[in-house]
Amino acid sequence: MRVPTRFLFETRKDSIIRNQTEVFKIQQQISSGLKLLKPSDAPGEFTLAKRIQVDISKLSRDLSDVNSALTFLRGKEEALSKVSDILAKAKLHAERGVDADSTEEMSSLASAVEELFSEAVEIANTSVAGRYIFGGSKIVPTGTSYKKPYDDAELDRTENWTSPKGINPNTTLGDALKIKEGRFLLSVFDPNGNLILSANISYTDSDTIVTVANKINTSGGGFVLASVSPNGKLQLSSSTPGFTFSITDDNMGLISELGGDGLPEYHGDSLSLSVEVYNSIIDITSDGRKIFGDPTKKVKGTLTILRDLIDILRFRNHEGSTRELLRSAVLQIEEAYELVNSERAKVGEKIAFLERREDLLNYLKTQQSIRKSNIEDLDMAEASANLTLKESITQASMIAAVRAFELTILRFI
Amino acid sequence: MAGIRDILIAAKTGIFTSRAALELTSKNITNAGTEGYTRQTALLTPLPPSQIGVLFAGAKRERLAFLEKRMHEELQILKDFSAQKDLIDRIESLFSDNQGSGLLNSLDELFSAFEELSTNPEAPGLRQNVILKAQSFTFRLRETAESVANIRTETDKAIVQHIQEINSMLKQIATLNKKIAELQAGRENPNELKDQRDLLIRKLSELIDINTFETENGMINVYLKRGGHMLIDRDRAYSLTFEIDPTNQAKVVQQSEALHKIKYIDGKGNVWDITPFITGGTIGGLLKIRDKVTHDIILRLNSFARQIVKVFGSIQVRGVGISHPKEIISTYRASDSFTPINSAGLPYSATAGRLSIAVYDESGNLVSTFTIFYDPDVDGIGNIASLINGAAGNSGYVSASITPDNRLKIEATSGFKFDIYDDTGGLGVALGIDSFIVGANVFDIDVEQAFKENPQFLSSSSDPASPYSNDLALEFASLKTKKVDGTRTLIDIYLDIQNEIGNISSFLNVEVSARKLVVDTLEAEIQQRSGVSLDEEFIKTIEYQRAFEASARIVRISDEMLLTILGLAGGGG
Repeated sequence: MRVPTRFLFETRKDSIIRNQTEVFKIQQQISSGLKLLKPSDAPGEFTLAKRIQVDISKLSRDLSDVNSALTFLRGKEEALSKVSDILAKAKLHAERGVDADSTEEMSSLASAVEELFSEAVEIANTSVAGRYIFGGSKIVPTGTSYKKPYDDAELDRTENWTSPKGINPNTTLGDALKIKEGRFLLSVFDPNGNLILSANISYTDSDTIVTVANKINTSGGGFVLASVSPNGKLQLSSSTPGFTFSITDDNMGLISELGGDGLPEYHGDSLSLSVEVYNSIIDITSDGRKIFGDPTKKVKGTLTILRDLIDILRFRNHEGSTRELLRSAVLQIEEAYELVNSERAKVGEKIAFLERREDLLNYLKTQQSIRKSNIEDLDMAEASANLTLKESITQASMIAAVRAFELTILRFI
Repeated sequence: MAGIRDILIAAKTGIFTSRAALELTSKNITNAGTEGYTRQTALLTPLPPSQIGVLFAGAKRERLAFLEKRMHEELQILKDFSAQKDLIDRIESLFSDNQGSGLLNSLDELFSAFEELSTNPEAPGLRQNVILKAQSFTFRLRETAESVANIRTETDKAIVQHIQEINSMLKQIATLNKKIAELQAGRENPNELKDQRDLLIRKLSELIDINTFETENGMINVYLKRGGHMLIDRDRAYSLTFEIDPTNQAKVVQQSEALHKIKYIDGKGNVWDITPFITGGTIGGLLKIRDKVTHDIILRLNSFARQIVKVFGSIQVRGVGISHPKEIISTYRASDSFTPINSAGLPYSATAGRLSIAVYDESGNLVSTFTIFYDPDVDGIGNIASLINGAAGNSGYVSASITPDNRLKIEATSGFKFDIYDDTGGLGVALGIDSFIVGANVFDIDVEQAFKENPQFLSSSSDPASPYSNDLALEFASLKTKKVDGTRTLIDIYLDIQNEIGNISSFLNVEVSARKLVVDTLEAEIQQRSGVSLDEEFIKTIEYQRAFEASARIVRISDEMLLTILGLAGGGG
């Protein structure tokens, strides 16, 4: 067979280039750690690897959601546990009230329950990662509205009210309370409960508590008399016996900042915020009224029951009818206690479910990662061996080419 | 019986012939590396019986025409696949999605952003994150489509350049045909010219699928394999030209540069479109990429983009954000205000349904809601405006009008804002109002400007009274696993495109390797006959050198014989 010189040269050159291309590809694979560098390397497997990658990303996201939900639910479980303790203590106080034989003792028990009530309000406003868990879907303070789930932003109908808290009469609301422009609705009722006056009173950050009192005097039509005590407490009183007044719709929470009337109102909603975890929807927030009720709307719940108990202990004597009311209160506390513990059990179930899901998701993620790795990851040992082999072949090919070119008759003539 | 003189003449022919053969060998040696050069061998014949000596009858080109023709055919196939492979490699790199950098990763991140938002729908940072991820995804999608379109445009330019090359080659071949015929008529050696012509024809066959036919006077006619259009008729070259094709498919989704048709001008000056007849060679491959592969990919990306606009928009218009706009102007323009929406030249259509509007005060408190019922096969945008203005519950909170450029404009009166929700027939998507992602096609897909400026407009709740709920945010996130066309998720749709490109590329890799092997084998066959072996030529050099020396020695011997005879003659005198 004739072997033309140019052909010999061209075929050797092609062979060297082909080997170098293969060496380069293996080097690329080693540097990236991937066996499949582009779809055409193995179209079916490449697409499968990408699908698995998407699955892994979803599993990671689900795991993150599980962690987030678990944080909330554990916070909720802890809050409910505290409510349960509060109710147990309240029951004890109510039972002691049944046996109390003096007004002083009743009053002392009322103070103790008041502390429990404050504690319960605090729990109802529990937040996890800055978000309220008993506010339904309204879970953060937003815009210009002050929206804790339970906030004493209003004043129920009363003849007299002195704010529990006071502020320096010479300091502006903006400086003292960081309040901006707001308004509230002052309503006056006759002894039959008919509305006889309704006035919107606005305030700004430059007002002082004294100017607010003046605005009430001006807009209150003489039915409500407002003044400020030396220690800065706002004092309101009805000028006509039997007439009552209320303050509602306080959009910047001035009345709340002054301590309100001790009756927190529910500002959340009846919805819940949920997360999707691997095809399951898990509620992480809930309607607080199911547990705590709404004392201003007389919706039954822990806060309403405690408030009623306080009223019984503080305003009733220690006679038979009071004892009956206290026994009834004990029964209500027991019901609330059952409800709270039942809710705790549900939360506990959800926690257990999520913990199992977490294990499952971790397992699936590991399995999918292994599958993906099997498809697209490079076997380094094999690749290194291939690289060495290909490099040797390239080197041998070059040496062979040089030898072939050297073998010419020119050298012998 | 031959005399001494005859011996001397015979030696002379031997010297001349050896020298001519040596010259031929030298030519072979010096052209050993010349592309297209064909080895030549000396044709030596003995003189007729009445004479003694050898005749140098000429130089023979060692070339087999049938192998060369087979090579043309194989090159046309190889170059067709190679041209496609080079371009599909570039396209494939756009879809590789390695190291988390591609379109798939970008889409996945968008879903993750929605999922994160669903856990905290009021968080401004998470809303901003969704918008950024959506912008990043739409940018990548646009960029990918534009890159494919650019490859298509570059391919078209390459075709135009190759046509110019072909015309130049055709002229050269025709000129060579003429010269070769002239030399052959004058019994001169046209071997080098034939080499040049063969090389040009081989390069021509790399560009376009041709057939050749050799005439009796040594000229070669060249014509298109399919269609049979004559490119070279003996010493006459026909030319190809190109012109913009106004109906080219490139305009289907993008008003880009128009592409070219390839035209053939016949002997009478008539112009014929030969684009469909070119199916092989580099140009054949480029045409397949330009008119089929890139076009199909752009169409599929376009369909994917429109699917994105529809599915994200259809969720967005069902709910409200945590902040609400004061004014909305539709993204797309209708042909006029009275033509029914589905016939008004809008990029998307709708079905009969209802649409509700929630009115809020400046503080975000829900003031009123009202609903309109529409039929896009009957109602134009003017009707929609009237329905909104006259809706019970509107009470002047919101007014709708038509802009001079035929867009629907909805605005709230002072002190109020509004939000569109519960759109059941896709009116929002069809008009591009409150639609989140908008765009008539893949080249202009983007996040609607209002959402870029205010991520709080993004719907996360279907209940206008509870904007902080997260049911729609969850629904956005669930798009990751939802089968949007009945059988496939959005990710499946993208992966199908990626998979198809991978399959095409893989097929071309195999074909190019296989065809290259065939071409290499054929080239080996051709080279075995036509290539110059330096070793062989050196041996021939020695052979002819020795023949020359032998002839020279005969001259010397003859001379000595003559001297001997002359000496004898002198001695006798």
